[in-house]
Amino acid sequence: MAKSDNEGNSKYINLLGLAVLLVCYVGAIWNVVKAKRQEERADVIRIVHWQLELGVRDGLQAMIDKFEIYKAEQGQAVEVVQIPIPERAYNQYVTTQLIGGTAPDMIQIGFFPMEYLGRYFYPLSNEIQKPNPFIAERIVELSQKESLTEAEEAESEYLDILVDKPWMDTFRDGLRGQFRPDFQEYFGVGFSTFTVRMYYNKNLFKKVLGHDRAPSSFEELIDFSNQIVAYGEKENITLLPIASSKYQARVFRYLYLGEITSDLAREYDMDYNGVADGSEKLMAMLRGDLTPWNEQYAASIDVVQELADFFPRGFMSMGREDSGFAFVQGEAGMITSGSWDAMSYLKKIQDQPEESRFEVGIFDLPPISKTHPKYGAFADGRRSEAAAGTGFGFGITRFTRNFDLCVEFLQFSTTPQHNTELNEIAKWIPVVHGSVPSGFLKNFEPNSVGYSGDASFAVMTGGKVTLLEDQVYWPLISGDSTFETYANDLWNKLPPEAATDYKRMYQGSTESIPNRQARRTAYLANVVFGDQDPAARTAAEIQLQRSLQPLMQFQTSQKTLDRKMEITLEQIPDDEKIQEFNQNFFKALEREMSQ
Amino acid sequence: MCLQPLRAEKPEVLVNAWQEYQFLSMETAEIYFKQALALDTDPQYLLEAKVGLAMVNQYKEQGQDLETAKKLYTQVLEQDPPTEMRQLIFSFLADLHLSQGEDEEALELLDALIAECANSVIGQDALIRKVILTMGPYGSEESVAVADEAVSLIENLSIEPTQARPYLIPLISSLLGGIYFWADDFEQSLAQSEIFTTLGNAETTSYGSQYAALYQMAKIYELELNQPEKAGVYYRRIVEDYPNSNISYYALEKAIEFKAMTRSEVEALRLPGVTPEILTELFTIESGEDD
Repeated sequence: MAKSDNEGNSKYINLLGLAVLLVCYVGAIWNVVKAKRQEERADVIRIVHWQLELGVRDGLQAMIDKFEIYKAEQGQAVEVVQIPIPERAYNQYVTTQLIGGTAPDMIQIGFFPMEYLGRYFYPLSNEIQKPNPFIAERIVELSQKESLTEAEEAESEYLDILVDKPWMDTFRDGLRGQFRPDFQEYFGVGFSTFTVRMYYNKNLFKKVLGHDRAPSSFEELIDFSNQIVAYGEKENITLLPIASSKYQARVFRYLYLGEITSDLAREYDMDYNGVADGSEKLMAMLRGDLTPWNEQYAASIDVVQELADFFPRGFMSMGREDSGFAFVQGEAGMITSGSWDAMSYLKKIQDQPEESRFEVGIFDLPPISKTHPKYGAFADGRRSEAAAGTGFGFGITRFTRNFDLCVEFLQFSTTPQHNTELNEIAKWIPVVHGSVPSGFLKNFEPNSVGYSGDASFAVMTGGKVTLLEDQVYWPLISGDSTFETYANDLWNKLPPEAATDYKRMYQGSTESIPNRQARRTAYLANVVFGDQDPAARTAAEIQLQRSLQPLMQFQTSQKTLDRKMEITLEQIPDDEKIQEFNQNFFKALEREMSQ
Repeated sequence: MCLQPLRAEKPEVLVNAWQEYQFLSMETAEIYFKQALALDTDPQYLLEAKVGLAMVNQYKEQGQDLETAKKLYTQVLEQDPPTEMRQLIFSFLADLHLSQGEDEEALELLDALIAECANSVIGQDALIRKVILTMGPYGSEESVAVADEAVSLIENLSIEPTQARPYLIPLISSLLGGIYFWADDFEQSLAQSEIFTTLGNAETTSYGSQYAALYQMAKIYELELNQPEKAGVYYRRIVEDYPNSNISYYALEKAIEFKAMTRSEVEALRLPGVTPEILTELFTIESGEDD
């Protein structure tokens, strides 16, 4: 009997499986037919991205609608299909589509291996050096109006400046954010830029502090936070000064690390290129300059510990959404996040019953003043946002049949007028000169004042030292460890981890040479076999030069590391602790290199 | 300079082959090159397709067939190809020898290319490879000797590189500047960086490499040669020409400290976030004056 039941179930499951398969099959066929039909009635371009934040899809769709109307007026039926994919599935989706040769025409750049850029995307360096033709069109459009609004007058002034400039120079950062040093090429054109600020609850500030002024210094941030705590205790309500999870704590960590140690980074910069890279930080460790006991580095930890007193209990196990929720619910005075969260926060606050809504203020993370009794001596200054580049960037894949149309869409969307409009809807920060951020977002405009670099121990991005640093850092910040335990743990465990990272850096620098060589030969052949018109020949030579630059860096990187090490070894101090660190490092390095 | 003569339009399949090659899609490129070889077309294009096929065999990531590559290059050379095509093949043959550990043979070819066409990017590419191959460790005497030889060769070229057509001169200067820098020969390093930053620009090299070179020059003048007024000139160039670099504010502070910029000059730049209060502080604290 039991056997017969099992057989029945099995038959049923088989049938169900077959049905699911059939539905999938029909679905797939339907998709193909739909795409074919779409392509028959119009030139179709597909654009994929992972931005599911409120407003972003609407902003992009507004551009799409306008572009389709514009092209229709020109007599060309065009359909732009927006494909939003969740962040978690993005890499897998893009990889499958690119490898399968079925990728959409335009793909938002990110979350996939950057090596794909060279294999599947058209370099746009030549396109972005020509003017954006839609700027000239807009000038004509405005000139035909009888009178201009104040905003149009301002726009007009910018248009006159931008009209003859290369497209790239119409972006506030010269489109630097889309430049890929590994290829020395631009692969994308973007629509927005992003910065990080503090959001605060103005109503709560008024109630607790008697004013809704943002703190202007680190000292005030601490003072205001203390007052919020005291108020909560007095009123017997749960009130958080700063809503935080590990995500937010990380923001504070790196911002204040930079603020207190960027001058150290300049000191460690052996080749004077403006950056202390991982190898130079390692050299600083070997010289004994960078240790956990370095008073500046230690101060940067103190600062975050001081702030962490105002985070919710158990913030390390909380997610970014939890802290955001606490803030929009009015349970916290402040929260730090990027401009990308602005729309979501505002919408959620707006969606609450009227009595729970509150006004949001924005301020820059307060700097540590030079007069601060404990940290003032180390205060260098805020982190510069001069390099806050163009993000939300799209590349054009080699599988497109409508390359020119894709370029046209990107040009259309990046005039001052359209860039303002897209970002107005998305509540993001526009990036084109002459575009205007909406009132609230003015607070997020990148500020070039400040410095770059910091003195962390990271030898290479995502390396073993970074993992180790994370392992010992967070227990300290969450109060589960002491500074001495942290410092001893980090220092004692560093040598083998640093050796592994150094070996990977040393040997890894040569791994991509064959690939770069192949690219070099492609461009060298292009000089000889390409168009011999003088302008085209020069363009091919310049492309060759750009391809040679990263290759040359890879070819000389081991020599550079050797030289840095040679210089460093002459400077090892006669200090037992440092000597021991060096011995352990070189012993581990020898072991690593022999593997 | 040996330019190709004008000829019939290139077959589409050959154009496609090169495009696939540029994307490093070698298997597809190989198919297209083979198809191009079967065409009844201008013999020059057949030679070009053969070179392409040889390149695929030589440079593909996996399953390289150096013997076939060599055979194909030889076949083209036997058919008396145009000068630049022959030079290109020599360049690839030098790579081939290097990958087989035949450094002497490779160097011979590179030397021949440098002697024959240092005025073109093919010869200059050969020079870059020769310098890297023979320079030894940074900081060594041999590295400086190699750089000296390259400098003298570049100085005697009969071309006049410009920003619009820089050839590979900015890149060569960058390479040589690095050699002199690590050998503590700062005067020579500065001379090479000067070439890199005047002949090269953000479009022909890159934004990042240009401001990094200016920063290095400023630091050399400031820290190694104790010439702050000259350092100020280069800090100023960073502020003016590369305001989107993340070192631009630091460079601004330094340019003011070394009196390379007046307040009105800074104000005219309208740097985001640089308020009158910040400027007052910078001009008061750093240089003790507020013009």
